[in-house]
Amino acid sequence: MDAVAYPDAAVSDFITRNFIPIRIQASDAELGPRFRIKWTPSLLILDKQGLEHNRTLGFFYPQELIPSLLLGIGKVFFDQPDRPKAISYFKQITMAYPESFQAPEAVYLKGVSQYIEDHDVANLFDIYECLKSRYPDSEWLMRADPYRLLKK
Amino acid sequence: MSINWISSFDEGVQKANEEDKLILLDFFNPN
Repeated sequence: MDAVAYPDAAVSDFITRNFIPIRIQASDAELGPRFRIKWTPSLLILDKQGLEHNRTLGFFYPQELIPSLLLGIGKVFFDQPDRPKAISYFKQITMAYPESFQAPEAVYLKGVSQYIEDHDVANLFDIYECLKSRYPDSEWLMRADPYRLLKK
Repeated sequence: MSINWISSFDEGVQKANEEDKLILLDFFNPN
């Protein structure tokens, strides 16, 4: 991450604008076990109470790290729950980073968030349709498979 | 602009509360 992703200007700007960035050695005797760290890099997104909402394992290209972080931020708001705010982050991924590895999950979580908000099953069917047309090889199409039956 | 990483967890949590921000916690291996 130090060699490629973090030196990228867009990445460092995004992290600085959106987070308080903390770096801890994985061998830290207190925090390593507390957060069950087994391998690096482990990148966690916590709320301001220190509660974990998302984690990734392994390296990211700069162009993948930003949508991955957007997805993690969206999950924080999904959990709170502040679904409209979560939707806005998931939508940023689908609009600005549609080719990223994160996009199919963002499509799924955006539709689920919308369904929880308005209870319209069309949102669930739309997840399936979008994933089928745009990300047919994604595992998220499998996860949305039952929603194909919801077509009116 | 480089990232100004904080090396103290407690200090970072306190700053997150003061600035009302989320925390990005990177566990790394320096070797």
